[in-house]
Amino acid sequence: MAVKKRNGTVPESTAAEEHWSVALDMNGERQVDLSDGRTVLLKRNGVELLSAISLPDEEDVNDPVFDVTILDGEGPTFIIPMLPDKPLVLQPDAELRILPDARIRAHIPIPLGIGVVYGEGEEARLIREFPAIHLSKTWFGEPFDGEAAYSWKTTFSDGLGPRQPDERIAYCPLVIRNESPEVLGFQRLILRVPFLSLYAVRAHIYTDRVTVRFRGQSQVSQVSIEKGPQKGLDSAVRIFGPRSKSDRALLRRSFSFIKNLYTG
Amino acid sequence: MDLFSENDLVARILSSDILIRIGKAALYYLVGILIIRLTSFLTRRLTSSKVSRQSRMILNKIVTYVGMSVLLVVILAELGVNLAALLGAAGILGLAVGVASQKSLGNMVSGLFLLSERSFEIGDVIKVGDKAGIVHDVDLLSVKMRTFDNLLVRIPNETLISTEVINITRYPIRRMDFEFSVPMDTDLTALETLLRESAESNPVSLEEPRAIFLLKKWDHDGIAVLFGAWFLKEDYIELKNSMFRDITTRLTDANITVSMPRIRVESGPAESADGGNRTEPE
Repeated sequence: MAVKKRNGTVPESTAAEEHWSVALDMNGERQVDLSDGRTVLLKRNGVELLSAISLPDEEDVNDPVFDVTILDGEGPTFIIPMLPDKPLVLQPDAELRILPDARIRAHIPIPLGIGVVYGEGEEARLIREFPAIHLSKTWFGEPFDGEAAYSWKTTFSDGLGPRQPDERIAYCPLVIRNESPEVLGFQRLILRVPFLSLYAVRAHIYTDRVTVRFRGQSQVSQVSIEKGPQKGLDSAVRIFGPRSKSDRALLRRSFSFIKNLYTG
Repeated sequence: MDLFSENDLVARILSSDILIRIGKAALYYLVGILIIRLTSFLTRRLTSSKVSRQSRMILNKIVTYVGMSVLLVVILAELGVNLAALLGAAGILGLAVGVASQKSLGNMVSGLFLLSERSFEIGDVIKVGDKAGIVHDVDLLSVKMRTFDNLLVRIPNETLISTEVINITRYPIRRMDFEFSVPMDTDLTALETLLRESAESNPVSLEEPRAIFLLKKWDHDGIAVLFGAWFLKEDYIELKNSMFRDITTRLTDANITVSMPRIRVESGPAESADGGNRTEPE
């Protein structure tokens, strides 16, 4: 995990950047509302960091049960946005077909959770993590060989234009190219979000741009993650690095075509 | 005179190289043990992130056994023991021991087959007969398993090779089946919806592979139903408890009763064929 160093080389701060990477004072406290109505409560008393989460139907948010973390010094504590810890299996909300040599460009909204980080730069350590919303667990691949992921229904509308500004959502610029001679009608696409970085651009948060090249059902697809913000977003500031290092072997397996494998 | 002879013997021993040989053999033993332990430690360290626990354990045992054999040969040679004669004697002795311990040899051969078959490894949860537990040690003679109530079960390799072994944790995901019967007049569509909603709302039930709903057969209790939800193997207890509770609540709320096998026991005097009470003979 890497958190952006807050030094003089940073371009002018953006709304999204200001919303996130908030430093908690040595004796400060802060409440952060998550998109599902829950509230994260954080308190810092010197080397003691208290954190709690309250559900929307809890009446008394003033008396939550706090977890206590003892820090090793008086370094800064930040609240940062976090992508999910597992890949997302994207399910198009409408049947989607891409003709040979055609491509689709889309912005995939990804819910952001909250991370509490102690320290800066390479020494930054993630202390607590609060997922943004409840994501259903799912499985990508065969029952004997696959990977655990979260299920995420989304719209694959064409275009990379501006989206609704929301600091709790990151947009992943995704390009799918059908380089096979067959029509690509897929039901599931895995997006390995732990390999992506986050960038703040004015009121938006973006991830690295992901390109998937489909070469046929019998062929492995090629996935490339273009490091850095998408073209034309020069003022983008990296606010969070990838959670894990990318794995070439994993990146090749991208599409799932549902078969009647599990009904026996 | 006798005292003189004893002193002479001691002197001869001291003057001969026997003592030096014994000293050398002791030194070889100490250094050899040190080298074997160091090699074993390095093997464990170098392979810790690359191979499985079981392969690591086997490699470690090979290093130790080979090292000890070489050390034994070196020490015997140093002590002036005729190795050719000893090996010849060992062959005859080995044959005699082999005949006397056929079971152990059978276990050892079965152990080799089990190791090459790799149907389970250390850390896997297996079920053998009515015993289930975590594989704790795989040896040449037996497999040791720790049951969930913390008992050590030793299963001879020969038993394992000839019996059914279920590896519960081999694959990353599993399906949990709930089987029950409902009365004939149950709304089966509503039942399927209810069960699917239970799986979908459960945080540890996987969305895919999709849960299976199967109407198995008509039986004497009504209609036999199977509902199976998929889960990550580490979520076993959480899924079992939460879904069992949730399905029970949902069935109760929907007024769907689960047919229970019943045995009717009647007390009192049995009725006679003509409707009257049968009088038992005194």
